[in-house]
Amino acid sequence: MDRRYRWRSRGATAGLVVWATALAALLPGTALGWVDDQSNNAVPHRPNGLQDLNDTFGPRCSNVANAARSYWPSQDGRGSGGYVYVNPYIARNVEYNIRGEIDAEHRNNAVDYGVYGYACRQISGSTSWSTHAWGAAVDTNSARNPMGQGHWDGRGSNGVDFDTYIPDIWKGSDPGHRFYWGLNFSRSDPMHFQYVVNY
Amino acid sequence: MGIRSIIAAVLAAGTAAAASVGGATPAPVSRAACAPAAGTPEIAGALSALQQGVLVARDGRLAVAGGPDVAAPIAGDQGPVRHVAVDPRFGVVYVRDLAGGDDIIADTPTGQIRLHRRSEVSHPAWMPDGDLVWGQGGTLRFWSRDTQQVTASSRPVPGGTVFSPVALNTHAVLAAVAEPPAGSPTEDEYLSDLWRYDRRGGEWRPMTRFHATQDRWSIIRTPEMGPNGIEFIRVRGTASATKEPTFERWSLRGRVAVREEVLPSERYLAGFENGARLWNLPVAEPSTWMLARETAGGGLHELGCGAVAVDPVDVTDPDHARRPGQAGTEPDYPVPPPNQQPPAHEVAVIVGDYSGESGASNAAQAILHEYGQGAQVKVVDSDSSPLALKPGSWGAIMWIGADGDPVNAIQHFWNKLPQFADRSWVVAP
Repeated sequence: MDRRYRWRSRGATAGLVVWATALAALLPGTALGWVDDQSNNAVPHRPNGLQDLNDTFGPRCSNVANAARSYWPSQDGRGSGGYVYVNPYIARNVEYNIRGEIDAEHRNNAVDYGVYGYACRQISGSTSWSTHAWGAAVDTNSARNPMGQGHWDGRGSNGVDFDTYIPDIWKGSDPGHRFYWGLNFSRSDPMHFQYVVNY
Repeated sequence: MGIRSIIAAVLAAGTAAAASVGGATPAPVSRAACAPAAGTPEIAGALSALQQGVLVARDGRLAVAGGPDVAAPIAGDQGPVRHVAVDPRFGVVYVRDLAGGDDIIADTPTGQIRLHRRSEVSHPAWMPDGDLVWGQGGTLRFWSRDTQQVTASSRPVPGGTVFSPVALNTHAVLAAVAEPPAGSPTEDEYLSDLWRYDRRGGEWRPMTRFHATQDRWSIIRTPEMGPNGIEFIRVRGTASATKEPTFERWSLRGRVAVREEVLPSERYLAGFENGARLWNLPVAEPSTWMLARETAGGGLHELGCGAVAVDPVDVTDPDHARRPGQAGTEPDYPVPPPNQQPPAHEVAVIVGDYSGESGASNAAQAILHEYGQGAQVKVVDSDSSPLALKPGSWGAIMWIGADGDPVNAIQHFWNKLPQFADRSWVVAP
């Protein structure tokens, strides 16, 4: 059976293609078919503190907190891909800007296991909830970058050292994807990137 | 020979008991209700404050719940206060939380003791002989009143975390011990149990043996010594699920852990006052903890804002505070004003995963039926949408537009097509 594409607004589609092509040609630093999206919709307000986190992302462990997903290489094992779930509030940023850039630049091998998003859990020994419980954080390359390690190990799933390519993607170039890196915590957590500060 | 404790899950009187501890979480309180009235004089010292009520950590300071702040005895005291414990015989002990290592502060009748530690500490408590005990990484630490020296226990679990010690007598301490993560070390906890440590022999032994997996976790919080023995909170949840974890109050009767009741909402023990249980309950706005005393009828009498054994939420944890200028920390980039921004990339709601095209096609038809023919709906597979679908699978996507709000879009989608609620997500195809 032929694949059926059900575009109901062909005019809008054509416009989108023209717009995307024009942007790709005009904006620097873009990979073919991918353009960094710096709109407020893609890089929205980043919460500051717990109350702002709740106000912005909604309640922790809610049904919305993991309602966006993207497919990542080496998600749960080296060479074994899987879905990473986050809050839809940061869907454009995580799925299009970050995951899309890695894929567009053909650097999927820079990702190493494990890659984890949403998890309804508390911080060890604490009554505070992990930012993963809001779907506001992603751990990546965690096997090589455990909590407590004071540096980033940039080796990807193929063993090649990609240096800080992955953290640079999460941080993003000016004006940036604005994820805050757990390496900056007092107890460094290099695998951890969260879309909130001061929590 | 290992000691096996018997975990007796005794659900006390079902829902009636569950409701007896005070029903719903307190209504939101105003910031003003959490702070002393303007002009209220500070109390000169922690020991004086003991006469005025329960001591808590509030807005980073030591304070009386529902009352005034306590003046810092030493000018320039750094770091927010957390984990406050009192023994009227010996004084008040708490943590000054700093970035990196913390201070333990004990205000005693003979003066203040300040113990700077080179790493994170938690839950200092008094021993019956006036010594101090606290959790530090994978060990307990003891400060001797006689020698002024700090000693460390052995590690009950390699790679584990020890916290919330409670003195049983002059030589025995009960503490929560968190297992290390099974995979890569992360900040989260999936399993903890209560262990007993004997200072004389330096031996640990487990008092509970709960079971958990990385996904179905079980943790212990805020053990306290009550009039009838040790009580603690057990929290159970499923990491991958989107539902509120279960909060339960348990007691330890000898070596038998007994579930006393399922709690109606998140709450933690904050000690006992004249035999009455004290609770810390989270308040969303402003982010704070409410301290409440359990009444004889099972209700809650609010005492004011402040944290006892829980981690404060009204101040930023210095270990997680943003540090501008540090390498790897991005500055505050200006966000272009709306009229200068490029259009946002389109995202979509996907229904998946299907092993073949027919399932996805049926889903697409259902979406069109509900949203109308104007909806932009498309059948995709992992070749055309590799970032949205795992290899070999199919799905139906509905674009939500460049200006669409993904959060509202997915909720609206679930309302209109509840049959897809468990298999629909926001994606960037």
